[in-house]
Amino acid sequence: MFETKNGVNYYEVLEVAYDAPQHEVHKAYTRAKATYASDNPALYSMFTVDEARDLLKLIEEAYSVLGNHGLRRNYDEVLRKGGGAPRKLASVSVEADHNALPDFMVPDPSIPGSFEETPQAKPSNVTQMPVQAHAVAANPYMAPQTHSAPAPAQAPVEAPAAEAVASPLMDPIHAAATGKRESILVTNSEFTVRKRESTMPLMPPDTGRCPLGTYKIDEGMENEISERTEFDGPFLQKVRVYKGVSLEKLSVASRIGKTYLIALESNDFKNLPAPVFLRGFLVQMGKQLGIDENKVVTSYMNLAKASGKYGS
Amino acid sequence: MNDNTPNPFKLNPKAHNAAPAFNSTTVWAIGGGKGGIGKSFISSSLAICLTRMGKSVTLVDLDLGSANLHTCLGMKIPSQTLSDFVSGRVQNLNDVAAPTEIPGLNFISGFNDALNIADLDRSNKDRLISALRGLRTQYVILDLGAGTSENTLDFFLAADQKVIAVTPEPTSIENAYRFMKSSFYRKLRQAESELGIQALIETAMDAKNQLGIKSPADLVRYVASVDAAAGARLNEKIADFSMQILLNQVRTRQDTELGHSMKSVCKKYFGIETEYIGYIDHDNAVWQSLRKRRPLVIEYPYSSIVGQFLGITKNLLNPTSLRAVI
Repeated sequence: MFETKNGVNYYEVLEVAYDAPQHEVHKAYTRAKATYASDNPALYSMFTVDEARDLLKLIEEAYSVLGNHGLRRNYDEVLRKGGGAPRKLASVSVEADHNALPDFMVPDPSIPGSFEETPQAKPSNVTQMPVQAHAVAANPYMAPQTHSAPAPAQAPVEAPAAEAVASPLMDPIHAAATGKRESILVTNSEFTVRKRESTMPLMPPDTGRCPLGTYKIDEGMENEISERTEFDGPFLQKVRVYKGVSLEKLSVASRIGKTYLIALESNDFKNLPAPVFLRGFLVQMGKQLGIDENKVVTSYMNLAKASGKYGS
Repeated sequence: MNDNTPNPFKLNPKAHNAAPAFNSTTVWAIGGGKGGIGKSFISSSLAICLTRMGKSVTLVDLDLGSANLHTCLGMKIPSQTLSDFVSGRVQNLNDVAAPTEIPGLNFISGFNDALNIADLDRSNKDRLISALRGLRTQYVILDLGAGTSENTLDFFLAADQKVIAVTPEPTSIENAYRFMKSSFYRKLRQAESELGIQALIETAMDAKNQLGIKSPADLVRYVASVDAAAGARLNEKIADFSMQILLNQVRTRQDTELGHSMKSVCKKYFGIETEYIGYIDHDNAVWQSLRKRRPLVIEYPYSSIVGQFLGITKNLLNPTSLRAVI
């Protein structure tokens, strides 16, 4: 019944039964990703690094279809008609079910950290600093900034707030530029303790840093970001590109699937998930890109509702 | 351990050695390519676990050049061994099978330094394979020894349950895959000649780069795309070829995931289903019992390893026939 003459069968890629429920698909996806990670000893002498990478891409693609109810239904139809599985997602017409749980966000108890909104920092990472731009302004120990800090924060809508800051928190965006390296301990019930290594290399003066990388500061752009009140998809993309963060990196760090990120950045409200999840995504994006997540969340959600295409 | 000690594992001893009404001997083979990963230890432990479940078992040491199984069992070398059968001195393999102190377990030793399994000629090999099926116990377990000689592969392929033992070291993993590839290709060769598709496969292998054939799975898919009927028959033949993966000397939790990863790699590379039947922890009790030349299952019956072996034995048996173990 599910023969495909050419093209790829996503069920075979994920090694999952045709009638598998969504949580099993998610489990198979997690397992497949772990299996074809380049450092898995099981790959030795069977797959080259490139082949493993290609397999990972295929697995990603398979899950982006099978992990979504609507896309999966369409794909099943295509398979049933005996056609080759379409490789490009763009060719599959999407009628996403907005009330369906986006399965990327289904927490899997067996994976440590899946109930946390932010990914666990690996010990080898030098710094993963939670961006608290809004807390900066309120902090009496803050060094004076040339960068105009955004207005003091209201309580964030659904994000776990970083609470007690143990020691003076420098504006992370300009901290690298000023070259001051302090040991910053952020203790919080939701975040793991992250300590900035004092042996971090000095950054060139006009380099900024966000949780996902460093970039060259353009004051004009920085002003635009801080003054902006309406965050829409294309502007978020502009910020992401400015900060030198690839879609891949953002997807991995924020644990938001690429398809959703693409939809988000192109204002494709029809294909975005339910509000509770969308808000989570926006908060994550704000954090990872180092912009005020409250502004992002409120303005984007309003935009989405106003468009009329975002059903919830 | 003498018979006066109450042994919770002992079932009705009279149930053993009952010859089946019809010849329904099931053969298990333990292979794995690499030497020293514990195949003899695994085969002897599985055999003893089977006897604890009331089955009659013959354990056969096919590691002809370097037979060790009698040492694992703590037995003296029997007066007659496999080489007596192979040379023709003994006609019936059952006469070579020696009873052991363990009720229900018979043992065939491969001990003879002069004869190596690779030196076994084709007619003797075929004769041995059919004789193994004629043994009068319910189960026959073959300890295959290291390497991928044709004879080793043929014994492996002749078994009903083909178990590959792997340890989490890259060398062992590499050898296990080599063993799997060799046995798969040997099976493919057999299927080829039966189906008459040698020419088709040769053409495919000559042009494999243009056709994008990188793995056996691709080859089989290509055959199916060219000749659907032959492809279907080939798939049938390959479908009965299934292997079981058994991890030994596992030290960390992550090591246990290796079985699942290998299962997935086999599916993607060969297109065959393998089963991950379980893992055995690395345990000091193993070398301690070996030094004493006593089987671990008897010497340390409450060790967690014994529990793991029992679980694996259950997985290898028909799962519907046993509901609870002990």
